[in-house]
Amino acid sequence: MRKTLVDSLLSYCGDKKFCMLCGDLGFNALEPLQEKLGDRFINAGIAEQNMISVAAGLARLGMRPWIYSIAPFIYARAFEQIRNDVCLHNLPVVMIGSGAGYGYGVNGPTHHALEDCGSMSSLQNMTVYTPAFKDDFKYLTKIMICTKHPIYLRLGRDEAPSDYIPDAFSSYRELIHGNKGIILTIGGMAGMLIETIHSIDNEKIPSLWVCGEMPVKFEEMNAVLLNQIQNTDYLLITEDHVSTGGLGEQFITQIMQHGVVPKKFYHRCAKGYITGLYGSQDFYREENGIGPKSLKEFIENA
Amino acid sequence: MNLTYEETRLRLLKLYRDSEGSAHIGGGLSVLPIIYVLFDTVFNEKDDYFVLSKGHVAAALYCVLYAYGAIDENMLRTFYSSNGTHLGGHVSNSIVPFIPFATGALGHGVSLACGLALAKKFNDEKGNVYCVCGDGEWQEGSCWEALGFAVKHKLSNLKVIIDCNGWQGFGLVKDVIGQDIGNLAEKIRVFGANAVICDGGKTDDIRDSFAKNSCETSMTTVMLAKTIKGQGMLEYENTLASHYVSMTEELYNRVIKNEAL
Repeated sequence: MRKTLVDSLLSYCGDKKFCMLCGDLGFNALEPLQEKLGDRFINAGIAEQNMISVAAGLARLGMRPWIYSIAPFIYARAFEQIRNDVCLHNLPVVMIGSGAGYGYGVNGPTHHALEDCGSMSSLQNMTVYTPAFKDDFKYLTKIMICTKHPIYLRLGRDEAPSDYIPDAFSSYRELIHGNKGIILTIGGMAGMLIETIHSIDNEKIPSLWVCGEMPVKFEEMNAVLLNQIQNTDYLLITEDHVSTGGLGEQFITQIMQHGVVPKKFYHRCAKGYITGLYGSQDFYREENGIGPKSLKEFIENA
Repeated sequence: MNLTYEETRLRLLKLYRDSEGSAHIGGGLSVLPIIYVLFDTVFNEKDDYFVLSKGHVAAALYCVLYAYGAIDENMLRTFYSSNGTHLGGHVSNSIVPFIPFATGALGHGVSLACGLALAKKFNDEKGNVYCVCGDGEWQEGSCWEALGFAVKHKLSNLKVIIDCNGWQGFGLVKDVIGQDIGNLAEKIRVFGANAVICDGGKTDDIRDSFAKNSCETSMTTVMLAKTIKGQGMLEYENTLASHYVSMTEELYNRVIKNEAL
Protein backbone atom coordinates (compact mmCIF):
# COMPACT_ATOMS: atom_id res chain seq x y z
CA MET A 1 0.00 0.00 0.00
CA ARG A 2 2.89 2.33 0.81
CA LYS A 3 4.19 2.39 -2.76
CA THR A 4 0.70 3.01 -4.15
CA LEU A 5 0.23 5.88 -1.71
CA VAL A 6 3.56 7.43 -2.67
CA ASP A 7 2.79 7.04 -6.38
CA SER A 8 -0.61 8.65 -5.84
CA LEU A 9 1.04 11.67 -4.24
CA LEU A 10 3.56 12.36 -7.01
CA SER A 11 1.07 14.28 -9.14
CA TYR A 12 0.55 16.77 -6.30
CA CYS A 13 4.23 17.61 -5.86
CA GLY A 14 3.92 20.64 -8.13
CA ASP A 15 1.69 22.31 -5.55
CA LYS A 16 4.01 24.68 -3.69
CA LYS A 17 1.95 24.28 -0.53
CA PHE A 18 2.43 20.52 -0.36
CA CYS A 19 5.38 19.41 1.74
CA MET A 20 6.42 16.23 3.49
CA LEU A 21 8.24 15.63 6.74
CA CYS A 22 9.56 12.24 7.70
CA GLY A 23 10.99 11.05 10.97
CA ASP A 24 14.15 9.63 9.41
CA LEU A 25 12.19 6.75 7.89
CA GLY A 26 10.93 5.83 4.44
CA PHE A 27 13.95 4.14 2.86
CA ASN A 28 13.01 2.46 -0.41
CA ALA A 29 9.62 4.13 -0.37
CA LEU A 30 9.70 7.91 -0.08
CA GLU A 31 12.60 8.60 -2.46
CA PRO A 32 10.36 9.56 -5.43
CA LEU A 33 8.67 12.17 -3.24
CA GLN A 34 12.03 13.36 -1.95
CA GLU A 35 13.21 13.86 -5.51
CA LYS A 36 10.10 15.68 -6.72
CA LEU A 37 9.53 17.86 -3.66
CA GLY A 38 13.12 19.06 -3.31
CA ASP A 39 13.37 21.49 -0.38
CA ARG A 40 9.79 20.72 0.56
CA PHE A 41 10.79 17.19 1.55
CA ILE A 42 12.23 17.45 5.03
CA ASN A 43 13.86 14.68 6.98
CA ALA A 44 13.02 16.13 10.39
CA GLY A 45 15.28 13.59 12.03
CA ILE A 46 14.64 11.31 14.97
CA ALA A 47 12.67 14.01 16.70
CA GLU A 48 8.98 13.31 16.29
CA GLN A 49 7.67 15.81 18.82
CA ASN A 50 9.36 18.65 16.99
CA MET A 51 8.25 17.27 13.63
CA ILE A 52 4.56 17.38 14.59
CA SER A 53 4.72 20.92 15.99
CA VAL A 54 6.74 22.17 13.02
CA ALA A 55 4.03 20.73 10.77
CA ALA A 56 1.41 22.60 12.81
CA GLY A 57 3.36 25.83 12.30
CA LEU A 58 3.66 25.17 8.58
CA ALA A 59 -0.05 24.41 8.28
CA ARG A 60 -0.96 27.52 10.24
CA LEU A 61 0.58 29.65 7.49
CA GLY A 62 -1.10 27.81 4.64
CA MET A 63 1.26 24.94 3.86
CA ARG A 64 -0.15 21.42 3.51
CA PRO A 65 2.28 19.25 5.46
CA TRP A 66 2.22 15.47 5.43
CA ILE A 67 4.12 13.47 8.01
CA TYR A 68 5.49 9.97 7.72
CA SER A 69 6.82 7.65 10.39
CA ILE A 70 6.24 4.27 11.97
CA ALA A 71 2.80 4.53 13.57
CA PRO A 72 3.60 4.53 17.31
CA PHE A 73 6.42 7.00 16.81
CA ILE A 74 3.71 9.43 15.73
CA TYR A 75 0.56 8.67 17.71
CA ALA A 76 2.23 7.57 20.95
CA ARG A 77 5.51 9.49 21.03
CA ALA A 78 4.08 12.85 20.02
CA PHE A 79 0.53 12.56 21.36
CA GLU A 80 0.53 15.92 23.15
CA GLN A 81 1.86 17.74 20.08
CA ILE A 82 -0.88 16.15 17.96
CA ARG A 83 -3.52 16.98 20.56
CA ASN A 84 -2.54 20.57 21.30
CA ASP A 85 -0.76 21.89 18.25
CA VAL A 86 -2.56 20.11 15.41
CA CYS A 87 -6.03 19.07 16.60
CA LEU A 88 -6.84 21.90 19.00
CA HIS A 89 -6.07 24.32 16.17
CA ASN A 90 -7.86 22.17 13.59
CA LEU A 91 -4.95 22.27 11.15
CA PRO A 92 -4.73 20.26 7.92
CA VAL A 93 -1.81 18.04 8.85
CA VAL A 94 -1.89 14.51 7.42
CA MET A 95 -0.05 11.98 9.56
CA ILE A 96 0.84 8.66 7.95
CA GLY A 97 1.35 6.00 10.58
CA SER A 98 3.08 3.09 8.92
CA GLY A 99 2.25 -0.37 10.24
CA ALA A 100 -1.28 -1.23 11.32
CA GLY A 101 -1.88 -3.47 14.33
CA TYR A 102 0.72 -6.22 14.50
CA GLY A 103 1.98 -5.30 11.01
CA TYR A 104 5.61 -5.00 12.05
CA GLY A 105 5.41 -8.58 13.30
CA VAL A 106 8.57 -9.99 14.82
CA ASN A 107 10.06 -6.48 15.16
CA GLY A 108 7.91 -6.46 18.22
CA PRO A 109 5.55 -4.44 20.39
CA THR A 110 7.54 -1.18 20.23
CA HIS A 111 6.65 -1.00 16.54
CA HIS A 112 3.04 -2.19 16.72
CA ALA A 113 -0.01 0.08 16.56
CA LEU A 114 -2.72 -1.33 18.79
CA GLU A 115 -4.10 1.92 20.22
CA ASP A 116 -3.80 4.30 17.29
CA CYS A 117 -7.41 4.39 16.08
CA GLY A 118 -8.79 4.88 19.58
CA SER A 119 -6.30 7.50 20.68
CA MET A 120 -6.33 9.45 17.44
CA SER A 121 -10.09 9.34 16.86
CA SER A 122 -10.64 10.59 20.41
CA LEU A 123 -9.05 13.92 19.46
CA GLN A 124 -11.23 16.77 18.34
CA ASN A 125 -11.32 17.57 14.61
CA MET A 126 -9.36 14.40 13.79
CA THR A 127 -10.36 11.88 11.14
CA VAL A 128 -8.72 8.46 11.07
CA TYR A 129 -8.65 6.62 7.75
CA THR A 130 -8.06 2.87 7.70
CA PRO A 131 -7.70 1.83 4.05
CA ALA A 132 -7.99 -1.88 3.31
CA PHE A 133 -6.70 -2.06 -0.26
CA LYS A 134 -4.01 -0.32 -2.23
CA ASP A 135 -6.64 0.74 -4.76
CA ASP A 136 -8.27 2.80 -2.00
CA PHE A 137 -5.70 5.50 -2.70
CA LYS A 138 -7.34 6.19 -6.07
CA TYR A 139 -9.96 8.00 -3.98
CA LEU A 140 -8.45 8.51 -0.56
CA THR A 141 -5.37 10.48 -1.60
CA LYS A 142 -7.54 13.17 -3.19
CA ILE A 143 -9.70 13.36 -0.07
CA MET A 144 -6.62 13.74 2.13
CA ILE A 145 -4.89 16.27 -0.12
CA CYS A 146 -7.97 18.50 0.01
CA THR A 147 -8.56 18.18 3.75
CA LYS A 148 -9.07 21.21 5.96
CA HIS A 149 -8.70 19.13 9.12
CA PRO A 150 -6.19 16.81 10.80
CA ILE A 151 -5.95 13.29 9.43
CA TYR A 152 -4.28 10.15 10.76
CA LEU A 153 -3.78 7.49 8.12
CA ARG A 154 -3.43 3.96 9.43
CA LEU A 155 -1.21 2.49 6.74
CA GLY A 156 -1.24 -1.29 6.84
CA ARG A 157 -0.86 -3.87 4.12
CA ASP A 158 -3.25 -4.86 1.37
CA GLU A 159 -3.93 -8.50 2.30
CA ALA A 160 -6.54 -9.22 -0.36
CA PRO A 161 -6.07 -11.93 -3.00
CA SER A 162 -4.05 -10.46 -5.88
CA ASP A 163 -6.97 -10.60 -8.31
CA TYR A 164 -9.42 -8.87 -5.96
CA ILE A 165 -10.84 -5.59 -7.22
CA PRO A 166 -12.51 -3.56 -4.46
CA ASP A 167 -15.31 -1.06 -4.82
CA ALA A 168 -14.43 2.60 -4.41
CA PHE A 169 -13.29 3.63 -0.93
CA SER A 170 -16.07 4.69 1.42
CA SER A 171 -16.75 4.67 5.15
CA TYR A 172 -18.56 1.31 4.97
CA ARG A 173 -18.29 -1.22 2.17
CA GLU A 174 -19.80 -4.67 1.78
CA LEU A 175 -17.06 -6.88 0.40
CA ILE A 176 -18.89 -10.22 0.57
CA HIS A 177 -22.65 -10.70 0.68
CA GLY A 178 -23.22 -13.77 2.81
CA ASN A 179 -25.96 -15.99 4.19
CA LYS A 180 -25.40 -15.98 7.95
CA GLY A 181 -24.08 -13.25 10.22
CA ILE A 182 -22.00 -10.16 9.55
CA ILE A 183 -18.33 -9.52 10.13
CA LEU A 184 -17.19 -5.92 10.32
CA THR A 185 -13.49 -5.15 10.35
CA ILE A 186 -10.90 -2.48 9.51
CA GLY A 187 -7.87 -2.15 7.26
CA GLY A 188 -5.85 -5.05 5.98
CA MET A 189 -7.79 -7.59 8.03
CA ALA A 190 -10.55 -7.20 5.44
CA GLY A 191 -8.31 -8.67 2.76
CA MET A 192 -7.29 -11.51 5.07
CA LEU A 193 -10.95 -12.28 5.77
CA ILE A 194 -11.88 -12.36 2.07
CA GLU A 195 -9.55 -15.32 1.67
CA THR A 196 -10.69 -16.92 4.92
CA ILE A 197 -14.39 -16.65 4.09
CA HIS A 198 -13.87 -18.16 0.65
CA SER A 199 -12.93 -21.41 2.36
CA ILE A 200 -16.19 -21.54 4.38
CA ASP A 201 -19.21 -23.69 3.43
CA ASN A 202 -21.81 -21.66 1.56
CA GLU A 203 -24.58 -21.68 4.17
CA LYS A 204 -22.25 -20.34 6.85
CA ILE A 205 -20.69 -17.56 4.79
CA PRO A 206 -21.12 -14.25 6.61
CA SER A 207 -21.41 -10.87 4.99
CA LEU A 208 -18.10 -9.05 5.23
CA TRP A 209 -18.02 -5.31 5.74
CA VAL A 210 -15.06 -3.02 6.15
CA CYS A 211 -14.99 0.31 7.93
CA GLY A 212 -12.61 2.91 6.49
CA GLU A 213 -13.09 5.92 8.73
CA MET A 214 -13.18 6.76 12.41
CA PRO A 215 -14.48 8.07 14.74
CA VAL A 216 -17.56 5.98 14.02
CA LYS A 217 -20.54 8.15 13.14
CA PHE A 218 -24.03 6.69 12.91
CA GLU A 219 -25.05 9.05 10.11
CA GLU A 220 -22.32 7.65 7.86
CA MET A 221 -23.50 4.07 8.26
CA ASN A 222 -24.93 2.30 5.26
CA ALA A 223 -28.70 1.55 5.54
CA VAL A 224 -28.10 -1.90 4.08
CA LEU A 225 -25.57 -2.62 6.83
CA LEU A 226 -27.95 -1.48 9.56
CA ASN A 227 -30.76 -3.62 8.12
CA GLN A 228 -28.49 -6.65 7.98
CA ILE A 229 -27.36 -6.14 11.58
CA GLN A 230 -30.94 -6.33 12.85
CA ASN A 231 -31.98 -9.30 10.74
CA THR A 232 -29.06 -11.67 10.65
CA ASP A 233 -27.86 -14.15 13.29
CA TYR A 234 -24.89 -12.26 14.66
CA LEU A 235 -22.55 -9.30 14.36
CA LEU A 236 -18.84 -9.98 14.84
CA ILE A 237 -16.50 -7.02 14.93
CA THR A 238 -12.88 -7.97 14.66
CA GLU A 239 -9.88 -5.68 14.60
CA ASP A 240 -6.13 -5.60 15.15
CA HIS A 241 -6.61 -2.91 17.77
CA VAL A 242 -7.34 -3.04 21.48
CA SER A 243 -10.93 -3.01 22.67
CA THR A 244 -10.80 0.39 24.35
CA GLY A 245 -11.49 3.07 21.76
CA GLY A 246 -11.50 0.59 18.91
CA LEU A 247 -14.00 -0.05 16.15
CA GLY A 248 -16.04 -2.51 18.22
CA GLU A 249 -16.52 -0.19 21.16
CA GLN A 250 -17.28 2.84 19.00
CA PHE A 251 -19.58 1.01 16.59
CA ILE A 252 -21.72 -0.84 19.11
CA THR A 253 -22.17 2.34 21.16
CA GLN A 254 -23.36 4.25 18.11
CA ILE A 255 -25.83 1.68 16.79
CA MET A 256 -27.34 0.87 20.18
CA GLN A 257 -27.84 4.56 20.92
CA HIS A 258 -29.92 4.64 17.74
CA GLY A 259 -31.93 1.55 18.58
CA VAL A 260 -30.14 -0.80 16.19
CA VAL A 261 -29.49 -4.00 18.11
CA PRO A 262 -27.85 -7.15 16.74
CA LYS A 263 -29.31 -10.52 17.77
CA LYS A 264 -25.88 -11.53 19.03
CA PHE A 265 -22.71 -9.46 19.29
CA TYR A 266 -19.15 -10.75 19.37
CA HIS A 267 -15.93 -8.79 19.54
CA ARG A 268 -12.52 -10.20 18.64
CA CYS A 269 -9.70 -7.72 19.08
CA ALA A 270 -6.06 -7.33 20.02
CA LYS A 271 -5.45 -8.07 23.67
CA GLY A 272 -1.76 -7.26 23.65
CA TYR A 273 1.05 -9.72 24.27
CA ILE A 274 -0.30 -12.87 25.80
CA THR A 275 2.76 -15.13 25.87
CA GLY A 276 5.38 -12.40 25.62
CA LEU A 277 6.89 -14.15 22.61
CA TYR A 278 7.81 -12.26 19.45
CA GLY A 279 6.48 -13.52 16.13
CA SER A 280 4.98 -12.70 12.77
CA GLN A 281 1.77 -10.71 12.24
CA ASP A 282 -0.05 -14.03 11.80
CA PHE A 283 1.51 -15.32 15.03
CA TYR A 284 0.21 -12.37 17.02
CA ARG A 285 -3.18 -12.45 15.33
CA GLU A 286 -3.69 -16.13 16.09
CA GLU A 287 -2.50 -15.61 19.66
CA ASN A 288 -5.23 -13.01 20.03
CA GLY A 289 -7.94 -14.96 18.24
CA ILE A 290 -8.05 -12.63 15.24
CA GLY A 291 -6.00 -14.67 12.76
CA PRO A 292 -7.45 -16.57 9.80
CA LYS A 293 -7.54 -19.92 11.62
CA SER A 294 -9.21 -18.50 14.72
CA LEU A 295 -11.78 -16.57 12.76
CA LYS A 296 -12.54 -19.49 10.44
CA GLU A 297 -13.22 -21.62 13.49
CA PHE A 298 -15.45 -18.90 14.91
CA ILE A 299 -17.48 -18.61 11.69
CA GLU A 300 -17.93 -22.36 11.35
CA ASN A 301 -19.25 -22.63 14.92
CA ALA A 302 -21.26 -19.41 15.08
CA MET B 1 2.64 51.83 23.15
CA ASN B 2 -0.30 53.43 24.91
CA LEU B 3 1.21 52.78 28.34
CA THR B 4 4.72 53.12 29.70
CA TYR B 5 6.42 50.05 31.06
CA GLU B 6 5.72 51.18 34.61
CA GLU B 7 2.03 51.71 33.82
CA THR B 8 1.82 48.31 32.19
CA ARG B 9 3.39 46.71 35.24
CA LEU B 10 0.89 48.46 37.47
CA ARG B 11 -1.96 47.24 35.25
CA LEU B 12 -0.62 43.70 35.57
CA LEU B 13 -0.52 43.91 39.35
CA LYS B 14 -4.13 45.11 39.34
CA LEU B 15 -5.14 42.37 36.93
CA TYR B 16 -3.73 39.74 39.28
CA ARG B 17 -5.52 41.41 42.20
CA ASP B 18 -8.84 41.45 40.32
CA SER B 19 -8.72 37.89 39.01
CA GLU B 20 -9.42 35.63 41.92
CA GLY B 21 -7.47 32.40 41.91
CA SER B 22 -5.06 33.29 39.12
CA ALA B 23 -1.45 32.34 39.75
CA HIS B 24 1.95 32.44 38.05
CA ILE B 25 2.52 35.98 39.24
CA GLY B 26 6.25 35.45 39.74
CA GLY B 27 6.85 34.41 36.12
CA GLY B 28 4.46 37.07 34.89
CA LEU B 29 6.53 39.78 36.53
CA SER B 30 9.83 38.34 35.33
CA VAL B 31 8.71 38.04 31.71
CA LEU B 32 6.88 41.37 31.52
CA PRO B 33 9.92 43.54 30.65
CA ILE B 34 10.84 41.13 27.84
CA ILE B 35 7.41 41.08 26.21
CA TYR B 36 6.89 44.81 26.74
CA VAL B 37 10.16 45.79 25.10
CA LEU B 38 9.62 43.27 22.30
CA PHE B 39 6.29 44.84 21.35
CA ASP B 40 7.57 48.35 21.97
CA THR B 41 10.67 48.09 19.83
CA VAL B 42 10.89 45.31 17.26
CA PHE B 43 7.52 43.63 16.82
CA ASN B 44 5.60 44.43 13.64
CA GLU B 45 2.15 42.88 13.62
CA LYS B 46 1.89 43.05 9.82
CA ASP B 47 4.82 40.72 9.26
CA ASP B 48 5.67 39.09 12.59
CA TYR B 49 4.22 36.33 14.75
CA PHE B 50 4.52 35.80 18.48
CA VAL B 51 4.48 32.50 20.35
CA LEU B 52 4.46 32.54 24.14
CA SER B 53 5.83 29.11 24.87
CA LYS B 54 5.59 29.66 28.63
CA GLY B 55 1.85 30.12 28.21
CA HIS B 56 1.22 30.25 31.95
CA VAL B 57 2.38 33.86 32.09
CA ALA B 58 -0.53 34.84 29.87
CA ALA B 59 -1.56 37.78 32.07
CA ALA B 60 1.70 39.58 31.31
CA LEU B 61 1.10 39.14 27.59
CA TYR B 62 -2.50 40.38 27.91
CA CYS B 63 -1.32 43.56 29.64
CA VAL B 64 1.29 44.18 26.95
CA LEU B 65 -1.37 43.62 24.27
CA TYR B 66 -3.48 46.16 26.11
CA ALA B 67 -0.61 48.65 26.19
CA TYR B 68 0.02 47.89 22.50
CA GLY B 69 -3.63 48.65 21.69
CA ALA B 70 -4.51 45.16 20.44
CA ILE B 71 -7.14 44.55 23.14
CA ASP B 72 -9.27 46.99 25.10
CA GLU B 73 -9.96 47.46 28.78
CA ASN B 74 -13.28 45.62 28.62
CA MET B 75 -11.61 42.57 27.14
CA LEU B 76 -8.70 42.75 29.56
CA ARG B 77 -11.12 42.69 32.48
CA THR B 78 -12.40 39.29 31.36
CA PHE B 79 -9.04 37.70 32.27
CA TYR B 80 -9.55 34.43 34.14
CA SER B 81 -13.33 34.83 34.06
CA SER B 82 -15.13 31.60 34.79
CA ASN B 83 -18.02 32.68 32.56
CA GLY B 84 -16.28 32.37 29.21
CA THR B 85 -13.29 34.43 28.08
CA HIS B 86 -10.66 34.61 25.37
CA LEU B 87 -8.15 35.53 28.06
CA GLY B 88 -7.70 32.30 29.96
CA GLY B 89 -5.02 31.30 32.44
CA HIS B 90 -2.96 30.06 29.50
CA VAL B 91 -2.74 31.73 26.10
CA SER B 92 -5.51 31.01 23.59
CA ASN B 93 -5.24 31.38 19.83
CA SER B 94 -8.37 33.51 19.51
CA ILE B 95 -7.04 36.86 20.73
CA VAL B 96 -5.21 38.40 17.77
CA PRO B 97 -4.06 36.97 14.41
CA PHE B 98 -0.39 37.50 15.18
CA ILE B 99 -0.58 35.06 18.11
CA PRO B 100 -1.45 31.96 16.10
CA PHE B 101 -1.09 29.27 18.73
CA ALA B 102 -2.68 28.43 22.05
CA THR B 103 0.07 27.45 24.45
CA GLY B 104 0.41 26.17 27.98
CA ALA B 105 2.11 22.79 27.81
CA LEU B 106 5.82 23.51 27.94
CA GLY B 107 8.25 22.59 25.20
CA HIS B 108 5.96 23.25 22.23
CA GLY B 109 6.62 26.88 21.39
CA VAL B 110 10.03 26.74 19.75
CA SER B 111 8.90 23.93 17.43
CA LEU B 112 5.72 25.81 16.52
CA ALA B 113 7.79 28.91 15.87
CA CYS B 114 10.15 26.84 13.69
CA GLY B 115 7.16 25.75 11.60
CA LEU B 116 5.97 29.34 11.22
CA ALA B 117 9.48 30.54 10.36
CA LEU B 118 9.96 27.77 7.80
CA ALA B 119 6.55 28.50 6.24
CA LYS B 120 7.60 32.14 5.91
CA LYS B 121 10.68 31.03 4.04
CA PHE B 122 8.65 28.74 1.75
CA ASN B 123 6.14 31.54 1.14
CA ASP B 124 8.95 34.09 0.62
CA GLU B 125 7.46 36.34 3.32
CA LYS B 126 9.38 38.89 5.30
CA GLY B 127 9.12 39.28 9.08
CA ASN B 128 10.21 37.34 12.13
CA VAL B 129 8.75 34.80 14.48
CA TYR B 130 9.38 35.64 18.14
CA CYS B 131 9.11 32.93 20.76
CA VAL B 132 9.40 33.51 24.51
CA CYS B 133 10.24 30.51 26.71
CA GLY B 134 11.19 29.85 30.28
CA ASP B 135 14.59 28.56 31.44
CA GLY B 136 13.12 25.55 33.23
CA GLU B 137 11.27 24.76 30.03
CA TRP B 138 14.57 23.87 28.38
CA GLN B 139 14.51 20.61 30.30
CA GLU B 140 11.97 19.51 27.67
CA GLY B 141 13.81 17.50 25.03
CA SER B 142 11.54 18.97 22.37
CA CYS B 143 13.19 22.38 22.86
CA TRP B 144 16.51 20.87 21.83
CA GLU B 145 14.88 19.00 18.95
CA ALA B 146 13.55 22.36 17.81
CA LEU B 147 16.86 24.17 18.23
CA GLY B 148 18.68 21.56 16.16
CA PHE B 149 15.99 21.90 13.49
CA ALA B 150 16.19 25.71 13.50
CA VAL B 151 19.97 25.68 13.11
CA LYS B 152 19.92 23.03 10.37
CA HIS B 153 17.28 24.93 8.39
CA LYS B 154 19.01 28.30 8.98
CA LEU B 155 15.89 29.84 10.45
CA SER B 156 17.37 33.29 10.85
CA ASN B 157 13.84 34.71 11.03
CA LEU B 158 13.31 32.84 14.31
CA LYS B 159 14.08 34.85 17.45
CA VAL B 160 13.91 32.96 20.73
CA ILE B 161 14.00 34.79 24.04
CA ILE B 162 14.40 32.84 27.28
CA ASP B 163 13.11 34.32 30.52
CA CYS B 164 15.84 33.05 32.85
CA ASN B 165 14.37 33.66 36.29
CA GLY B 166 16.11 30.60 37.68
CA TRP B 167 12.99 29.00 39.10
CA GLN B 168 10.68 26.23 37.99
CA GLY B 169 7.52 24.64 39.36
CA PHE B 170 9.01 22.92 42.39
CA GLY B 171 12.51 24.24 42.87
CA LEU B 172 15.47 26.10 41.45
CA VAL B 173 16.55 25.25 37.92
CA LYS B 174 20.15 24.85 39.11
CA ASP B 175 19.03 22.35 41.78
CA VAL B 176 16.73 20.35 39.51
CA ILE B 177 18.98 20.10 36.46
CA GLY B 178 22.25 21.74 37.51
CA GLN B 179 21.97 24.46 34.94
CA ASP B 180 22.36 28.22 35.11
CA ILE B 181 22.05 30.91 32.48
CA GLY B 182 25.72 30.59 31.57
CA ASN B 183 25.77 26.92 30.78
CA LEU B 184 22.34 27.08 29.12
CA ALA B 185 23.80 29.70 26.77
CA GLU B 186 26.86 27.51 26.25
CA LYS B 187 24.70 24.50 25.31
CA ILE B 188 22.72 26.63 22.88
CA ARG B 189 25.92 27.85 21.23
CA VAL B 190 27.16 24.27 20.91
CA PHE B 191 23.98 23.56 18.93
CA GLY B 192 25.09 26.25 16.47
CA ALA B 193 22.77 29.09 17.42
CA ASN B 194 23.74 32.63 18.30
CA ALA B 195 23.22 32.98 22.09
CA VAL B 196 23.34 36.37 23.81
CA ILE B 197 22.81 37.20 27.46
CA CYS B 198 21.25 40.40 28.77
CA ASP B 199 19.88 41.79 32.02
CA GLY B 200 16.19 41.05 31.62
CA GLY B 201 15.24 42.95 34.74
CA LYS B 202 16.09 46.25 33.09
CA THR B 203 14.07 47.39 30.10
CA ASP B 204 16.98 49.48 28.80
CA ASP B 205 19.26 46.46 28.72
CA ILE B 206 16.64 44.41 26.87
CA ARG B 207 16.12 47.30 24.47
CA ASP B 208 19.86 47.44 23.77
CA SER B 209 20.04 43.70 23.28
CA PHE B 210 17.16 43.71 20.78
CA ALA B 211 18.81 46.60 18.94
CA LYS B 212 22.15 44.79 18.75
CA ASN B 213 20.68 41.46 17.70
CA SER B 214 17.89 42.44 15.34
CA CYS B 215 20.25 42.98 12.42
CA GLU B 216 20.30 40.51 9.53
CA THR B 217 22.01 37.28 10.40
CA SER B 218 22.15 33.86 8.89
CA MET B 219 21.84 32.26 12.33
CA THR B 220 18.98 31.52 14.68
CA THR B 221 19.28 33.91 17.61
CA VAL B 222 18.51 33.02 21.21
CA MET B 223 18.50 35.82 23.76
CA LEU B 224 18.81 34.74 27.37
CA ALA B 225 17.40 37.41 29.67
CA LYS B 226 18.48 37.19 33.32
CA THR B 227 15.36 38.10 35.23
CA ILE B 228 14.01 38.05 38.78
CA LYS B 229 10.99 35.92 39.52
CA GLY B 230 8.31 37.92 41.28
CA GLN B 231 10.33 41.11 40.86
CA GLY B 232 9.09 43.71 43.36
CA MET B 233 6.84 41.26 45.18
CA LEU B 234 8.45 41.98 48.60
CA GLU B 235 8.87 38.76 50.59
CA TYR B 236 7.83 36.77 47.50
CA GLU B 237 10.55 38.22 45.26
CA ASN B 238 12.84 35.51 43.91
CA THR B 239 10.93 32.71 45.65
CA LEU B 240 9.16 29.55 44.56
CA ALA B 241 6.05 30.76 46.37
CA SER B 242 5.70 33.63 43.88
CA HIS B 243 4.68 30.99 41.34
CA TYR B 244 1.62 30.10 43.40
CA VAL B 245 0.70 33.08 45.58
CA SER B 246 -2.53 34.98 44.96
CA MET B 247 -2.50 38.75 44.76
CA THR B 248 -4.70 39.65 47.71
CA GLU B 249 -5.83 43.21 48.28
CA GLU B 250 -3.47 43.39 51.24
CA LEU B 251 -0.46 42.16 49.27
CA TYR B 252 -1.30 44.42 46.36
CA ASN B 253 -1.45 47.48 48.63
CA ARG B 254 1.89 46.64 50.20
CA VAL B 255 3.57 46.08 46.80
CA ILE B 256 2.20 49.35 45.42
CA LYS B 257 3.22 51.26 48.55
CA ASN B 258 6.71 49.85 48.32
CA GLU B 259 7.02 50.77 44.64
CA ALA B 260 5.92 54.33 45.40
CA LEU B 261 8.79 54.78 47.84
